[in-house]
Amino acid sequence: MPDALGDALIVVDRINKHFGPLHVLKDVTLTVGRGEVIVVIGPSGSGKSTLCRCINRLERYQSGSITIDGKTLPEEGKALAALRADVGMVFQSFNLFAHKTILDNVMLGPLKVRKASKDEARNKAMALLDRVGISAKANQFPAELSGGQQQRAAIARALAMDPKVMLFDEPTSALDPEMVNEVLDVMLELAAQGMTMVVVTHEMGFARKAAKRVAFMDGGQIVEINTPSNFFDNPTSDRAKQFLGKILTH
Amino acid sequence: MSVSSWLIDVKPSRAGELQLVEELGPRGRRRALFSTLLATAALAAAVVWIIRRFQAKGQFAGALWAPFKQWAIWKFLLIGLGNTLKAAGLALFLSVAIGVAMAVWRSGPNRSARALSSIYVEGFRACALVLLITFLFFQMSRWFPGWRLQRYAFVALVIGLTLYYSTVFAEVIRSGIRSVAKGQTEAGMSIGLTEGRSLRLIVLPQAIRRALPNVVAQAASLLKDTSLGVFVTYDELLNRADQVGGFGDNKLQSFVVAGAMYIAVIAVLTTIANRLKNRQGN
Repeated sequence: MPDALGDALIVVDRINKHFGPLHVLKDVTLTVGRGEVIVVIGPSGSGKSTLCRCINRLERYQSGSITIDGKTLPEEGKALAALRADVGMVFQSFNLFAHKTILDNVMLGPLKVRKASKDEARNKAMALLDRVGISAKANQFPAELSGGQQQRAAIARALAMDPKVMLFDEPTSALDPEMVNEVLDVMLELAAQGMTMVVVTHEMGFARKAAKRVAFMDGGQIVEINTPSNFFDNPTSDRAKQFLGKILTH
Repeated sequence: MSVSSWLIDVKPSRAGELQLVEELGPRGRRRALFSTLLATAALAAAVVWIIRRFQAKGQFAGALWAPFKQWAIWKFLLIGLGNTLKAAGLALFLSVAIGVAMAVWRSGPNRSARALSSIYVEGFRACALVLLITFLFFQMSRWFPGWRLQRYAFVALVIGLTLYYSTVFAEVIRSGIRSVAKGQTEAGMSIGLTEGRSLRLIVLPQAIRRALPNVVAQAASLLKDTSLGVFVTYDELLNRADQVGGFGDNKLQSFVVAGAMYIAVIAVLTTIANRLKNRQGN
């Protein structure tokens, strides 16, 4: 990995996170190269979602540092907000703004944060909605859309900020099975276009297809990090073997 | 754009009505019918009893109600109602505005704003409203000598109502803010809004929408509490009804008429609120 440091977009350096007495991230270190897709997998409670949320500081951590594109994550305030604007985030539960139409959801960031003009924001939003295949739903409210459509809208909302990196926190875990693929397809396309992505997921198929590296987490640590083919076919750690044994036998 | 079902917080049943209880079985239906009949009978009996007491004391005598055949009396009362509405309208506007600000401050990231609004809300909410109004009335005449009496009364009433009801609206709206899922704020922050802006732009509109039924209920309560203006001689509906009753020796009848006027105004208020809600809801 040190050789990748020259073009590292995200450097997570020995971060520790406690929830009260619970030590959920233990000295986690991870480097994500520009244009790289990293898939983080692991059992529930392993800290993978927390790690994802720490990268844009939706979750505070007690020690260590995170650097995005050469800038250390500010602790708070406008500087933090400005940095978050460059980091797209897709949530498990979509979190579309419930009182705004799909179009307004996508336009809000460019309008309020990037100070784009209304026309500019609308054109861009429509283009993005078209790209994720839901431009027909532009004037509807989130609750009127299916889960898969909502998640694609949420991806469009994040992309509208022209982020340097996209974080996905279990983006398909709350979806009905038949809607998982329409979301994964959009993500695969993004990956193919060279977007830097950190994806926390249970979708092993996606990890195989899209990931440059797979990070396996357990007990608050990254236990193993490897290319998908090496990881799935020849895991080195016992815990990864155990985990894969449990999920891949069916 | 047809439905905006974000307005409905809980999954609606088929009829669109929220069903909180299990549908009744045959025995439950019989029991419900029986208690409905019983309650209706009790209510009817109470009404009959009141009417008979009125009759026994001669309260239906034509002479006692006669003043209300005169337009001059109605005009006199309507001017009082106008003053009631003037004080209520201004106090409502001010207290909702301050209430929203207090709710946002108290829910926001700024520690000193949070402390300040907590003190304000907890302090004025615990104050007896009559005390507040009479205190302001007497202080006002010391701070600003030379006003007309009615002006002291009006200002004291409006400020008193505003101080108290802004804390009520603050709490109603704050509970609305708390009912909006945390993910909404996080999503706002994830596209680069600060926590405060996310609260104002994303959470607050949804919170106010949810708090609206409570806001309307409290607005009705505020309107009725303008009658506390009586204590500081404010020239409002109850005050004038009292004068009419004193003059014609028919206080009971005057208060019944004034009571009906309060009910009518609040019915109008509720109807407007429901219209507003339905129009936004569909």
